[in-house]
Parts: sequence; C-alpha cells; structure tokens
Amino acid sequence: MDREYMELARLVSGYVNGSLSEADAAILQERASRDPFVRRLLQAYQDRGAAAETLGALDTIPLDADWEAILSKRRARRKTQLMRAWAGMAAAMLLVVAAAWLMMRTASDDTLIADTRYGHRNDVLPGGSKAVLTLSDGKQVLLNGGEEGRLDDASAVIDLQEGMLVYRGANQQTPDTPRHRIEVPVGGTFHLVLGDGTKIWINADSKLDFPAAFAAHERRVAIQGEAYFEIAEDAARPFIVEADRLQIKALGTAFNVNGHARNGQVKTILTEGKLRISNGKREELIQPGFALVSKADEMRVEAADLEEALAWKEGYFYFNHKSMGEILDELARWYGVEVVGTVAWDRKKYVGGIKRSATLGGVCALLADLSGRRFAIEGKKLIID
Amino acid sequence: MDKADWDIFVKGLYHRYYLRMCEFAYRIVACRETARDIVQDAFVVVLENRLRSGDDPDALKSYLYSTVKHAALNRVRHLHIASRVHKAHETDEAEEAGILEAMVHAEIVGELHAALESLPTGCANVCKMAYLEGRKNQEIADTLGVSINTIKTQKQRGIALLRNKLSPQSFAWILPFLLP
Repeated sequence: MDREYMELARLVSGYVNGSLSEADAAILQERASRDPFVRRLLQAYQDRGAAAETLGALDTIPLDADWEAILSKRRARRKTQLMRAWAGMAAAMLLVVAAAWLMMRTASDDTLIADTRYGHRNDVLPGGSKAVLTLSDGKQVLLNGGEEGRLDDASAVIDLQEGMLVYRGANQQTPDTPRHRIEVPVGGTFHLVLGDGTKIWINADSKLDFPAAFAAHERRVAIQGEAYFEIAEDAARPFIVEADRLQIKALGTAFNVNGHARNGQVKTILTEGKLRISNGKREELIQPGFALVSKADEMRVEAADLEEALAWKEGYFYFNHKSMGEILDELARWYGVEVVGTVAWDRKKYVGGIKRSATLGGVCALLADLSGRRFAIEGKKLIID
Repeated sequence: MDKADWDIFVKGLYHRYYLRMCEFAYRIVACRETARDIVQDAFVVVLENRLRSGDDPDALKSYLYSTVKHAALNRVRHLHIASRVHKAHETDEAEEAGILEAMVHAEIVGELHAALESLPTGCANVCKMAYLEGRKNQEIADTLGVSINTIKTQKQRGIALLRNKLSPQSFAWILPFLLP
C-alpha cells in the first residue's frame, strides 16, 4: 500500500482519535481544505449511525475463534505444502524416468532424420560400424566405431581401431582357450582381423563365434548370418567356418557366406582360392567364381556373380536377379526398419546397385521407380502399397 | 526471533489489526464472512513468511493491507462477488482511490474500536451496549442484572476515559449515546 495513503490514514484516524499533534492537525486541515476526498473522509464520521453499525459489526467477530481458524489454516497449508513437495519429488522422478526412456528411445532412434527431399514423414540414416563383443568372462564391450584403445583378455590382446578389432598376441590355443563372440546388430557391419591375419567382415544382423587364440592344428569359427572371409594362408592349419550344418574348409581363400535367406539356404561364394564344403554327408569342391547353395541336406554348385560376394563390404547393395522381397529384407537389415505391407510381389527379378551410404529415402525413391509401388517411411517403418 | 516468539508477535499484530483488516476487506468484497476468510489467509501468510515481512509493525501493517487488498480484489474479480468498490469504479485509478478510502475508514474504525476495547470491562460493556447497540439504560441494566444507577455510573466513567482517548470531533458524536 502506498506510503502516502498510509500517512493520510494515520492523519485521519489520529484526527478522529484525538491523538494528532498540532502540527499534524494543521497538515490535515490544510489537506482537507484543498482535497475533497479528505473532506469526505472526515465528514463520513459525522454520520453516527453508519459508524456505530460498523463498530457493532466488528464487535460480533469472534477474535479467539478466528485466531484458531488462522492456526488451523496454517496446519492445512503445511500439509498441502508437504503433499506438494511429495508431488514435486514424484514429478521429478517421473521426469528422470521419462528422460531416461526418451534417451534410450532416442539412442535407438538416432538414425531417424528429417526428410526434406522425398516427402516421407522422416528419413532413415544408413547403418554403420557397430557390434557387441562378448569376452570369455561374459563381459560385453559395445563397439560403435569410434572407440580406440586396447582390450586385454586372458589369452589375447585386442586393439580397437576405428570400426575394427585386431587380435594380437597369443596364437596357441590351450585346452580351455576362451571363446569370443561378435554380434553385429541390424543396421551395422564390423571388420575384424584375427590373430592369424585372417580378415572377416561381418554384415548386419550376424554373429561370429571364434576362439581368442587358434589351436595348433586348425582354425575354427562359426558364423550365423553373413560374413566375408579373407583367410590368411597357413597350410598346417586349415581354416574351418561352420555355417548352419556346413563345414567350409579353406586354404588361402576368400569367400562370402550368407545364411540370411528366408528360405533357410546358405550361399557360399568363392572369390579366390579353393573351398571344400561338407554338410556331413557330402562334400563339394568349389572353384573361384562358383557358389555353393545349401539348403537342408541339399547342396548344389552354380556359377556365381562375384559382385554379390564383394559388394556389401565395398559399401553398396548389389542385386543381381533378386526379388523385391529379398531386396527389402536386406534394406531392413541395413536401415534397421520394419517392412510393412501385404504386397504380393511378383516373380520379377531386379538388377542394380545402390550405395549403402544412401539414406533409406534415397533407396526408396529408386525402388519406387523400379517397382511402380508407393514407398512411405514413418519412423522406423517402411510402408509399401 | 524464533518460531514460537514469532507466533506470539503475530498474535499481537492480530489483536491490533485483525478487525480493521476485516473492515477493509469487507469494504471491497461486501461480504463479512468472505472478508474474514481473506484476512485469515493473510495472517497465515504472515505467520509462514517471517523473514519476508520483517518485524517492523508498520511494515507489517502495510504488508497486511497490501495482501488483503490483492486477495480481496481477486475475489471480486474472479468470483464475481458484488463489490461496492469494484462496481462503483471502473478505472484502476478510481479503484485505487476506493481502496484508499476503504483503508482509511478501516483505520479509523479500527482505532475507535481499540479505544472502546481499552475501557475497563464493565464500563466497556455498558458503553458498547449504549453506543454500538443504541440501547436504553433500563435495557442494559436488565441485560446485565444491575441497577440503572450502576449503568449511569459506568457511562460516566466511560465518558471520562473516552474523553482522553478520542478526539473532540469523534467525542462529539459518541457523546449523545452515553449521556443518561
């Protein structure tokens, strides 16, 4: 409240109460003479009836009961404040949980970007170098391509380089040599150099099991999914890749094993050297430029397109007489999307190549042109109709 | 000042200012019950916020007026309670003047009431009945169960005491009620 008003109130009430000094009374009188409002105030108390009514009304107010009311209001308020504090804490915790959830969501969805070119709800970035390495003691190391450093496991020293692991050190497998596993998720690839110098490229949605150090008589690994192998030459120790029920024995060889086909077949394409592939019942000898297609107990050898074996690790999709279903499966693995739609694809086969560094929107633009279908991206869904 | 001392201090302020604050709020919201509710809330705020308002009684009175004013205006504006002040004045300036007037009236009746309260109990009772309720000497004597002469004596005492407490101006209009 304005100080001036307070002062006027003091003067007027003092005047009415007779507690005003002569100097103050003079000030009030002077103000009353020029300010009709002050005059009106003073005149109001000439009306005895109204003033008496006011005083009477004030006298009916129960002072003790109202003081109790104030104290009980304070108690209620404190209770409310306590509840508010609790609610605040609960809200804060909820916020933390929500933020964590959002971060996890964002972490899994950080491949989503705005689409400014193709008219989809959003676009999806291509996959990249990522994998989870599981050491013999069960410890897991997340590899997102950016790590540098050195891991020291019981039987191997592993260098982490940009987007790849290089095994060094012990080359002798003891009876209880620990086994390592690399899992490459959807939307990833990973490159690995084993202790013997063998290079392995692991494609998206694939697993490789291998010993931290190889035995003296053989080198044995197991693959699920797709990987390309460049086997280091070592005549004394054949390199054996287990894929599904196949044993692929190589000597100084480069080949691609792909077990991703929906129909359960495993296709091994040999690019260099020689392969001896056994399914436990039969054995086939493969020459470079040929592929072995295995399904259940059947094995057949066919002429192969080497591009198909090499393309993915060189950074592009390569489709040579692939159905749209097969193409979409590969896209789903690389972009980490779910393909939605009940389109019955015809038997048409497609030929072409697409850079794996393209965004999903770019790939879809191409496929829409080729197939005459409409492709739409919504979040992590690829919708086709 | 610790918490218990503060409560006692605020209770002192309460006895000094509660009624005039009620009067002030009433002149804005035009409802005695609502006015009490608003002023009670203001005292709760003072009880809870001792550091903010300090312990200077003048500052606290000012703070009380300000708190009650805002709460009362909020009631008038948001709860659409009929208000003499709000209805009579449309502009903020006029409203401000109305608030000032209400405050000055509250101060005056507050001081007046305090002066009556300070009379000795028997004397004050008689004076209140006569002055506030406009009752005749015989009625008061019947109510209190005393003789009419006792009433007259108490009134005389009241006049003598009030003469020292109230200004000649206010005494002039309180006197007719007290004379036999």
